[in-house]
Amino acid sequence: MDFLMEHASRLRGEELLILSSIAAPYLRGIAQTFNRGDLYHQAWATRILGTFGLPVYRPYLLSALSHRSPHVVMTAFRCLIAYGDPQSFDILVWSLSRFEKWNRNLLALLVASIGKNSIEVIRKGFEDESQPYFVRVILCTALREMGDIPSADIAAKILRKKTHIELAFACIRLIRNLGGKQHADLIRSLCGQENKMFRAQAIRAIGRLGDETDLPLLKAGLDDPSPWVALYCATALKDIHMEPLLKEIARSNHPRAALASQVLELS
Amino acid sequence: MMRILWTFITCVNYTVLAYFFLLNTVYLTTSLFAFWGLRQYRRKKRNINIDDQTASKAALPITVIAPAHNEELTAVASMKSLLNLIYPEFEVIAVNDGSTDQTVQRLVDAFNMAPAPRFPMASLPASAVLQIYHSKTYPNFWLIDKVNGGKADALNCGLNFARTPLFCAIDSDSLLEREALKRIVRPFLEDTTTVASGGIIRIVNGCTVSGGIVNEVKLPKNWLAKFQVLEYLRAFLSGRIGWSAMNAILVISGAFGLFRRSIVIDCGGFDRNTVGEDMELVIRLHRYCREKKIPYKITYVPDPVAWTECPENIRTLGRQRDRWQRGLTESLLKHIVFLFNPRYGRLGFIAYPYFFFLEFLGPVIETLGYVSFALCIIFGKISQDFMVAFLILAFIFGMILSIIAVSLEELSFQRYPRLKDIGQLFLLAIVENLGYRQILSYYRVKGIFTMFSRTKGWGKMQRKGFAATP
Repeated sequence: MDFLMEHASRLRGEELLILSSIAAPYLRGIAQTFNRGDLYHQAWATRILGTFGLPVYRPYLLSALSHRSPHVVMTAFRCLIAYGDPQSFDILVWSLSRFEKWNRNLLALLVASIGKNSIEVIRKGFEDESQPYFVRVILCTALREMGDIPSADIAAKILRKKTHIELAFACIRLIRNLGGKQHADLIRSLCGQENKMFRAQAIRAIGRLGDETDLPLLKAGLDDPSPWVALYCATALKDIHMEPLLKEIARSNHPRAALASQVLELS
Repeated sequence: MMRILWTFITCVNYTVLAYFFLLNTVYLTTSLFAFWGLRQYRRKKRNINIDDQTASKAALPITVIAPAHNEELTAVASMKSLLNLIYPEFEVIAVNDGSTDQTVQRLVDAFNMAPAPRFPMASLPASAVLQIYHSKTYPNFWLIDKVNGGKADALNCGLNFARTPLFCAIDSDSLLEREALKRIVRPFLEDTTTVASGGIIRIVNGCTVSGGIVNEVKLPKNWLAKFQVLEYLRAFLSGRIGWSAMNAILVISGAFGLFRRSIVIDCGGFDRNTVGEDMELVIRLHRYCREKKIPYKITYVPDPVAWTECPENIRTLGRQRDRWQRGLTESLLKHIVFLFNPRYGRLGFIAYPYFFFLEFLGPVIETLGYVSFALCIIFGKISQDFMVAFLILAFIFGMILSIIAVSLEELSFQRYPRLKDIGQLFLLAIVENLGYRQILSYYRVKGIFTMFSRTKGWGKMQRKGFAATP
């Protein structure tokens, strides 16, 4: 089985089906030992069934999603995602709450890899206030990765309410990538937040959504005590085609002159 | 008078026996944990292979900070190896810490660099920056030329200019394997509370290197270097992997470690007043996170490798060990609050006391032991039982531990493909007890005493350069 698995990770479609047919006679035996042995054995069995045994062994994989070990849960999660079975989407989204410690971007990319036919489920989860904030962050990032333009309105709706700061950042990033001019005022209203990272994220989005009317805001932001806010202000100025102003600052004695020069030369 | 002297020597002898017993028992325990940890790691990696993800946008961007001081022979090859790393998004910042040789010029010429503006994003204490260069060939390569201030100062300077969520601190004479970043980042992806992870350091002497990549792994011809190969295997495979499996890591080597930038900045960056800035930072991270009740994890990953050149003559080796011991002593004394303090959990009751009594005070006890053992033999004042016990605890037990380390290497990574090299490693486990260990003890004791001279700086290291590597 390990020999087959080594090759399976590099194969898709027809070729994988051939390997699955070779593995098929042994899967029943593995399924019988599914709940025995140590956690690593159970994760191994999950992986084998998830790679060669879907959809027949789907119930095993679904039950593994509620296993006590995050290692087994992650193995099952990845197999089901790779299989892309529409019947499992709901359960997969719900099982995300088991991965609080995992990197959100990594999970978001996995979720996004399911494809467009899961978008409704992902949007629903993103909007669902009963979901833990980090699950919504993952779903928000997945929607951004999938380029789902309608989700920008959902993000705006979430931003208007009081929400977890990490979710707010994810929403701002989504609006920055997928939002339109209609979201600019909301983002502008966030540029004065006390939290420097909040301000930085909002200013960054202004670079993409804003226009010349944001010049005073961005110019003032260059003096912000946080270098991150100043950096994003300079980048935003460049994005809204205010290079002459940046050049002027770069040539002056402005404390952020070096920053202006850098943004002009690079980015 | 003589009776008092012999009573003292007898006491020393028994203390030394107890010391060796304790030291080797700890080593044996960490070796067992290392075996368990390596097995867990391999099984976990087999089931959840996130290589696809670490090669994608999910990977957290990294800044590699390479401080350099008079590294004209190795700097270009090292930077080439860094720029060849396989990782989706990374930047390399070389920090020239007031070199008096051609380090800057060599880098500027080799990488087509020109002065460029770059704005600092943090303000950790560091000496003045003279010039910043940016490579026209490699957009992700920067060089900061600054006034001399020591390694910690150079790291702080690089950290001030870093912008990525993670930074990797390395020695500029280290060669990272091409997949090293992909592997060392794994704990940060699996657990967002990870604040630091370390990789394995291996000896490059004797290996064939071209274009900054280690192509063939062989044992060096020089005997001092051979001993260090064994020593590094023991320190990393048995030691640090074992401590990591016990969740009680106190050291991440300055030659290769990955850290969360924000938390290192929050806790004040590298301490410029110690020569052991790597160990001091890790202890301070523990302290900072525990005192602020921030959930955190510090871990070791067994498969990312950094290759480094080791000293091939006793003088340079002595200077290096003297420096390491001073760094260890300073770091431990600075954070003495850990000692048997329940607030720090297993660090306060296991890891810190181990380093304090066995690594800091150990060399003094060991050296005293060798002297008194020799005196007892010369004056015929030693019992046969004691002699047997001493030989078993000091040498045979030690040998077994070295053999375990080589076996761990063979069971896990098998980096030395030649049977002759493996045989030599086992032989070295015996031979190192006949002089090498004693020399190290001497320099470590010296390090403790010279600590009070407060000498800072880089410590001279005679380099051959990777181009000269066979």
